[in-house]
Amino acid sequence: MKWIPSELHTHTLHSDGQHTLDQLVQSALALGIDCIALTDHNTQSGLQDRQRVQAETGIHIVPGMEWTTFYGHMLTLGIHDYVDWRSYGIYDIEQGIDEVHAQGGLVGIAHPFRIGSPICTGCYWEYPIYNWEKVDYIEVWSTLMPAIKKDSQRAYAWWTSLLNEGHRITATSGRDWHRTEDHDAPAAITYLGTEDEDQLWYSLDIVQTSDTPFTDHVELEPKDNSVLTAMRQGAVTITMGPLLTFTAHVVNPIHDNHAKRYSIGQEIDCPQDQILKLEIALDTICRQKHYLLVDQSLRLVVNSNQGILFEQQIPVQTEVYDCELVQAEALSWVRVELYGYFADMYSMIAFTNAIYITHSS
Amino acid sequence: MNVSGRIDSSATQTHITYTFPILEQSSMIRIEFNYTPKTLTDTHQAKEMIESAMLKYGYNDPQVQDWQKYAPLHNLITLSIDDPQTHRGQAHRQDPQQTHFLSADHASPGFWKGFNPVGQWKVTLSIHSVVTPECDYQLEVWGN
Ligand SMILES: [Zn+2]
Ligand SMILES: [Zn+2]
Repeated sequence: MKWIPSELHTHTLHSDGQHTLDQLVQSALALGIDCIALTDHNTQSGLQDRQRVQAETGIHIVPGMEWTTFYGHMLTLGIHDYVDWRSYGIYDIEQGIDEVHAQGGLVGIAHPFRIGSPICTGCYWEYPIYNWEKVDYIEVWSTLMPAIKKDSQRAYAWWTSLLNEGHRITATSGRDWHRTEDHDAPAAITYLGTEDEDQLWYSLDIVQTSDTPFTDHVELEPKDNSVLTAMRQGAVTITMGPLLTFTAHVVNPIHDNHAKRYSIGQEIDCPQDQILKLEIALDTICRQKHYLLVDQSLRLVVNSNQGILFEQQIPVQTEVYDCELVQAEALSWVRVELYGYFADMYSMIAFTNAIYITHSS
Repeated sequence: MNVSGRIDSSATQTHITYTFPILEQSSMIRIEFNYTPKTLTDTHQAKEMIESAMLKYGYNDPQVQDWQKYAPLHNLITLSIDDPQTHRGQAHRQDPQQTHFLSADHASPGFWKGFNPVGQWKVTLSIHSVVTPECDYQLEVWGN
């Protein structure tokens, strides 16, 4: 699995951002980000520069848009054609979602608990969702230093309660990047996992797509599919710094090395009376120069629908930790969280998406 | 087309669409749009509206009753354009005074450049919020 450091919520001068796509991408590259989604408010016109900027810099730009409606902000990713938000009312959001899905795109609820109208118009999510299957992701961490912000904490708790109800929804972070200043507080990184397309991600060949004089139609590229697949599968892990990942397998007492490992976002079947083992990896090397994590004792936590199952104090270093879950019968999901001091604040530093657990008899 | 209007808070969360003909081939479509006022200056009203939003959205933590951090409140109207064939984009930003243009080679930020077809065009004003007692807007569109 290769993990792509990404930023999935950005704006440019095409809406109310204060930078051009070129400037945004330079700032992203300076933070060691390999992939951004351009999600301007209600327009995809910033994508007119996409191929040029990708070819010049090697970054990948996922076509996106932020539906900036009266009753909520919804991110869309990977769609070809503009989908019109203007005709949908407060009870119609699922129709809008269907239109995005019909094009193979994804939708995510942006900053669901940011204060709403008239302070930040439409920023609080007010749309009722009747069918959670339709929501691909929730931006549970929003803006800079998200973990200490109340709206992100509420979103995180909301996401957890949805997982507990049995919904499988990917969580992301989004900087909601409108401008870059010298002394910005740290932003989180959303790592997207790709398995089959490692080669693709390393290749610098930019796929030439049709060069029409103008269009509100966007050509998708192979890397977009890697991103969409990762998001769809929930192969996503979020951090202020170190990369936190884990796998799960059913313990095989004789050939444990051969037991199939399931990764973040996947479903594992754990038959009755079997032991579930997690292998949790903390990687403090990748993107090391882009964040500061002072030497300390970090708190590693395994969380689940049954609450906290395991915790351990660990040092700031690259290491793998094993965790055996003996009574796994009642578990429907597990995820890993990391807590400690970051930028002088004690908070959550990283969390993974869930591995989902079923129990055949 | 040169139109103007006056709206109040009852227009919040509605759209006003002007449909109008562009009958001659235009290499450039230009749009001037402005609205005023932008900002609610009455602090008493602002405090009331902000506190009610803080309550509604669960920001009414008794420890941090700081309504002023959300002041002042602004009106927000955004503009989008549909030509007779396709959606041409949208300008979602705070500026109360906006100039836009569309031509084959260039378009102002938020819009797609391209050929400007003859026929019925639409400009939509999306009224995200009117917080002042009244808000006057003016919209002018012409081709050349
Ligand atoms: Zn937003
Ligand atoms: Zn945004």
